[in-house]
Amino acid sequence: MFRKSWLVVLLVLAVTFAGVGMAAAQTLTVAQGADPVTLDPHGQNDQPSARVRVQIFETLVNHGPNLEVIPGLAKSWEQIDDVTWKFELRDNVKFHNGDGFTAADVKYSFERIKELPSPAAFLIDSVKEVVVVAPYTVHIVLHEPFAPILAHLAHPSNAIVNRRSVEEAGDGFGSLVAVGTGPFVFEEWVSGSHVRLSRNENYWGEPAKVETLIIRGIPENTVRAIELETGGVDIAYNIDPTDEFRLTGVPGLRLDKSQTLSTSYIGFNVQKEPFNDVRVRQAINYALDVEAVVDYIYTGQAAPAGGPLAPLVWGAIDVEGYQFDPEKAKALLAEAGYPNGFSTTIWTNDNPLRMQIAEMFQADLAEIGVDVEVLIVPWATYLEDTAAGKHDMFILGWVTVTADPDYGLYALFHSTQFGNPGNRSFYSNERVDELLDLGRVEADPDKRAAIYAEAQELIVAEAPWAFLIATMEVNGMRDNVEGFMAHPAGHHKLSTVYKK
Amino acid sequence: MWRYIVRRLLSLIPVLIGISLFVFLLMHITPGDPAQLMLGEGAPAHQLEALRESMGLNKPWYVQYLSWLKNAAKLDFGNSLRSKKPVSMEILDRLPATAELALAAVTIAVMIGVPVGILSASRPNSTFDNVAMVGALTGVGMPVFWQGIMLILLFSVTFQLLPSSGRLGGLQYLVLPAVTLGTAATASIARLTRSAMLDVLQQDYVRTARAKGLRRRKVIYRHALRNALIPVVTMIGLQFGGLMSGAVLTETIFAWPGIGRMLVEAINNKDFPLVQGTIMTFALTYALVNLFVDVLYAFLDPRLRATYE
Repeated sequence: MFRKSWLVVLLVLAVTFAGVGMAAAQTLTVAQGADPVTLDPHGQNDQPSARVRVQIFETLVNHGPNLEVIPGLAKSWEQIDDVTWKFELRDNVKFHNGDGFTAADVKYSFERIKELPSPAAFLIDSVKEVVVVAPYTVHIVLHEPFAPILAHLAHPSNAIVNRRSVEEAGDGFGSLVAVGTGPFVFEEWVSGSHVRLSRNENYWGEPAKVETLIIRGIPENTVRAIELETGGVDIAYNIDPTDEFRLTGVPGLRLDKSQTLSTSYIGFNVQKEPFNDVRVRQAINYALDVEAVVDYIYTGQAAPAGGPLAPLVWGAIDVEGYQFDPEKAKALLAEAGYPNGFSTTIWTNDNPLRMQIAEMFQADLAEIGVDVEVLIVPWATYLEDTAAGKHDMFILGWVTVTADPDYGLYALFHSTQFGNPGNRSFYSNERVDELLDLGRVEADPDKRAAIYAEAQELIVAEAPWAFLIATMEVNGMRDNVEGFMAHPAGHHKLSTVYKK
Repeated sequence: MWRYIVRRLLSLIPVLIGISLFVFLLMHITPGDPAQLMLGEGAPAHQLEALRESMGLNKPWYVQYLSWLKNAAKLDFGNSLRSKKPVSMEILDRLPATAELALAAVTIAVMIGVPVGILSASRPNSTFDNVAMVGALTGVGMPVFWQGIMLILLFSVTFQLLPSSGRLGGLQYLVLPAVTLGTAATASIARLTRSAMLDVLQQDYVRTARAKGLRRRKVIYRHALRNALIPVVTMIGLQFGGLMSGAVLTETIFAWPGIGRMLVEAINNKDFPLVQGTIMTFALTYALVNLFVDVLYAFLDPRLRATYE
């Protein structure tokens, strides 16, 4: 009898302690709209993959909360001459497999990016070589001066990997093995379901707050929102406008709306009639009721964009842009020789939001006599044919992932970048070219800002685009989730997040 | 019998080669360049070229096909263009989830569809029959997308009984997707069982059995059912094959880690090796299920056994 009751007491104690232990071992579950493709940071450059990789891998430098460049694996840096940057590395960093992090890893990683080639290798096109100067010192040598180099090094695709683990894993690197230096250690990836990470107990910096991090892919927007609502996940990324409306005010959860580095625009094929006339392009800018798109299609998950850069991008100027004014639009069209308008097409891929935008603008443009046919083109063909200049007008978006105006303007407006590289409006202006070239080499921030301000003003005036919107991102979370900080490029780091 | 099976298996080889060639051509005829899709908007030309080269896309299509075929004969289906993982690994990672889902859906369909069909046939034009057949028509016609979301709203949000998505262990995750996927199959199996049963019940031997004074129940289950099941078994086999490859929508709604969703993503990204490997898997599954069904006939219908020698 006595023994039995002791047994009961022991059992109760055991259960109690197990309960305490479990409370401390927190698991955070996050849902995003797609599955990662590969966890190899030098593989496919897609957002769902980046969102997992930034927990595991690290870069030499990072973007801080205000998108300023802050130390990462490099604790300090200086520019030695026009083309040489010296980085002092942290000496207390270990890879998840126990190997120490040194300058050799930096050299190996950048060489691997170029050799593969990584789909994001263009980010370090300017890098000529990486020279190991001392175990914890590297020089990054450029082909020619390139002012935004630090912003490019902060991109998650330029993460540092461990040579031994890459070589040992072979084909399995990025799916079975992912060894980085970051606050979370890769545990397993159940294809199509989730990736499980655990806290890196030997992290060089502030360790992650939760023990286990699970990142799930839930493609259906509504179902992702429902998972958040029913507590199946703690954080759900990218809540759709319709679900945002439904979830607002639901007890137990909250929505976090943040600015991003993305813009959406309508590009004109400026080498084709009638879009070779600046007055026609301006007229269309005046004719579009962008506020209505923000209100009805994005239901507030966007703001009208006056110019080509999202407001968070460094050096973005506050331009008023073109306000909705159909009368002015008509006058400009008449002046350009189209008093009765004309017929044209607008291209979009099968993105639902873009299709809705195209239809709304079809109605807007009909008001000024422009008869627009909406063509919905499959994505692959869309990229190919707009690069070949087969289009009249097209809708696309751009994410200035580096938060630097060079990335947000050069590929889109420089005359050497026609077609595939990004300039699908085939816009060319000598002064803009000159300014964009100058911006790449100018080291002085004030002068650089002035250069990009002038470029933006010119681009707005010449209107190779109809400037539409800067998009926002809405992420939903349970109300016990603390410490979440949205990254404007969308790859949110989760080591600071915990549950109350 | 064994000779028959071996002959059927051997005849699969030209079929599979034909399918692979067809898929390969189709993927190459449709516009879109995988390298372009991987790099997206804003890809420098030199890099596109380097990527095409590294993926072997610069060679003529027949060279690409022949090298694929040569490796496939050694059961090496290449690596996914995007993830770089071996295609066989991608498929094996995803196949169990789809097989589980299809099997559950077929089980539901058979467990409900066959009895409902029999009951309907044994009391044609009764209230039960009418309700069941209208239900079956609705089941066939209901869009999977709508049905899935409705089930989630009901069982996950309102009653909070079942998880709304994922496959994170436990049968509770299987229920809603299996019901969603199985509904249309249940309905068609019920309808087919009913009509096959009605047909058989009008045969002479059934009348004889009744005339002998056998009980109605015994006539239906012992005499009629076996014969009525032959077309139903064919249907179940076809349904299973169809469910394996047709679970895309269900898998998407419920974030089920199946192979159908993977195939659609692979097609969108023009991930040739992955598309090729996945479709081969489907073709093989379909063919094997059909073979299994054919063999099953022999056991259901002694008359057919002779044809298998």
